[in-house]
Amino acid sequence: MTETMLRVNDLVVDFSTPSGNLRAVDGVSLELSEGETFAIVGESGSGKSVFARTLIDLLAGNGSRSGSIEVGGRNIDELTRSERKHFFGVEVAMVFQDPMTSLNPVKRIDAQLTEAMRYHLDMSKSEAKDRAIWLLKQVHIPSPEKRLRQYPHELSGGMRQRVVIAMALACEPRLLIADEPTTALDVTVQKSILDLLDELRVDRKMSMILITHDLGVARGRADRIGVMYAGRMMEVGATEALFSDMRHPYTQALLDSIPNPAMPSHSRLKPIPGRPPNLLDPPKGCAFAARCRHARYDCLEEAPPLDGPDGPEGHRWACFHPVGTPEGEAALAANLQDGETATGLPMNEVGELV
Amino acid sequence: MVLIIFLVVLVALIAWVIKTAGWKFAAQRFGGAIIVLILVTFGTSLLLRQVPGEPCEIALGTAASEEAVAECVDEQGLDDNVVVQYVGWSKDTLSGDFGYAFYKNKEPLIDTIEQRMPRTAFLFLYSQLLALLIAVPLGIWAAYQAGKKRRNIPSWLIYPIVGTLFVFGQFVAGWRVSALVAVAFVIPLLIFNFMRAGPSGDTTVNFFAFVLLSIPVFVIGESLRYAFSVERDWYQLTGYAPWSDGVLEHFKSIWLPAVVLGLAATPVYLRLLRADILQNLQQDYVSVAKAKGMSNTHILMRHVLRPSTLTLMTVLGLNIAQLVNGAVVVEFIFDFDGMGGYLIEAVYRQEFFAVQTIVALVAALFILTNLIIDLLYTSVDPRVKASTGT
Repeated sequence: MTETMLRVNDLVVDFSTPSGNLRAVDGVSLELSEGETFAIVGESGSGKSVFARTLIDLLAGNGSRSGSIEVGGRNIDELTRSERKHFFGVEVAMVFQDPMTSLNPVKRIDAQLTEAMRYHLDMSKSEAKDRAIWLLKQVHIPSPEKRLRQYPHELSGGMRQRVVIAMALACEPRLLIADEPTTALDVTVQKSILDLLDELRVDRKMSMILITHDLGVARGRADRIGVMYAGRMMEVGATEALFSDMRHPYTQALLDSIPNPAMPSHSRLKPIPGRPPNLLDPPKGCAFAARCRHARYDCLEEAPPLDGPDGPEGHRWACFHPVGTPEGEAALAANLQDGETATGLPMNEVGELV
Repeated sequence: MVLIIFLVVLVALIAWVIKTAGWKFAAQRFGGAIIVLILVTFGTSLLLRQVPGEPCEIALGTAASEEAVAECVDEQGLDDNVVVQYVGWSKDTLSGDFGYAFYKNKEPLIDTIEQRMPRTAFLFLYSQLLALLIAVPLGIWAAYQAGKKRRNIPSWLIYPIVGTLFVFGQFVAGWRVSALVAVAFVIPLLIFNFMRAGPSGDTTVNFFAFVLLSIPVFVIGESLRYAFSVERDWYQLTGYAPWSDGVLEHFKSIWLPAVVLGLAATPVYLRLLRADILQNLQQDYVSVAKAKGMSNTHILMRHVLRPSTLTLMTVLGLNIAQLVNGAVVVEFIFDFDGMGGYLIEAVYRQEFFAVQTIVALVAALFILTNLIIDLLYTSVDPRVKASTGT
């Protein structure tokens, strides 16, 4: 049994806004062992980025958090002041979405790369510079000595993201949070950045949380996947189990909405109807019920718990009528008979939402 | 003397501009500057001639004989065509002959400039330094407080602030008025304090900035002058003392107008810097730096401060116009014989050529300062260099 790197227990993040309380993350629990990659998949506004930022203590001023976060066995709320000073950025590090804006435009690469090492690891200027060159080599940047003297605007997007990754790795973190690290990049560069992250993770036995909206990326890179919707974890499981045996109608809908190259050309995509719920005024029952073709009346009463036959270690889902189970088939059949789901979404003869 | 210094500085500057920004940029900017100078001086001469009155009649007084006036007009070439006069003035000025003022016994203009320019320059320098010394730390602090989760400053901070006001107020206006002012400050602060959030450092700084911004310069100036030069002997009203008279004498003769001018500029600089810092704190790279575990102070001073000075620098460059404009009121209050006062006098007396010369000097200074500021942008933000090709 490998060591547990990250343990998140019932994490709730609220933001107080002028129009009321917004619950961005609603009771997410997560365990991540050493060297493991966990992908969090979800559409915009599902709370995945807020979750990532909360892990590295980057909550905005109007946000509040409850629930515990343990990194490497240490609860981040129980750190002393001096431990805390050298914790974020050292134990946990983060790679952000947009390399165009995540580097300070008026500072040279060397200053941005070495500042964390000098601050956390107490390195001298020349030590830090040597290590910066080594780090740039690690992320496959050619002629690193020259790059160090340049400004961010003199580098390409992919190159900048490599610098951002080098920056995150500067203090040898044991947990890396990558928040959509390739979303802002060209497809050709995406693969090389993901390969790089994989390579570095294996070399350093780092754990990684990969936030993405791309199920394809998650499938290729993660050991386990969590599907997030409206601040909640909808389905969690090992990548293979999740794809071969998906249970949650949302996961299925998400997969169906991606263009499939195997399908004949001009076949229609199946978008998910409707929009995510308003988090200022969340529905009482399942958050996905309003867009779900399995939705029955019990879905509106109560939010289904995240559970599965194999307990917390195995494949779990938060659904009363999961896909591929008798309950799910029954719900679908009942909705088909009614011609609409419990939330009033009309259905056609083959059980598709129209 | 002043002329030589001016020329040396000009040559050094041209060399520096060519070195840092290249021939093309230098040619563009200095070419533009020459056109601006011509337009400004010629425009001034045309505008001044719209005002009724003859400079020679004004200078010689009503008692002067017609022959004397005619002689003066002839000597100055005032009956020539405006363009001819302008060309003549340009030739003289470019050859270093600044002429003389008609009144004041034909005192050479160059003497006046040499006498008045340094004191105006020092006044401007000290006032801007003081304004920056107050505005930069307070602006940073206010922005820092505004971005913080905890919104209260400890309420005891109110007492030293009000106490200082009270003590200084005594010098200016006696203890009765001073107590009244102190109470006037305490009441809003107390109201803030009873509010849910309480006054943050940001609220407090902004409050004082707006108070300072709203009081006219001459109100502060007049009361301070009374307090420090009439009531007590802290400010030398008798006239400007150059550095050669001793440091103490020099400052004693200039500190009060500098303080007044500086206080007027402080809230503007403070608000500009604060706004820029707050805006830059929203940038993604600040999140990245936080995720790296850098301290708030480090992020503020090392990441955000430098790009936040751009607006401040721009306004600072524009404020050099104050050398003659904004300082006039203060010069008047403190009987400080500076360039501004002289320029007004010259305009009233229709001294076309003197006005043109001074306007040309000030315009040149203005253009040069802003050229320097433009070049400084590139060192603050390297992207400027890339985008304008300078």
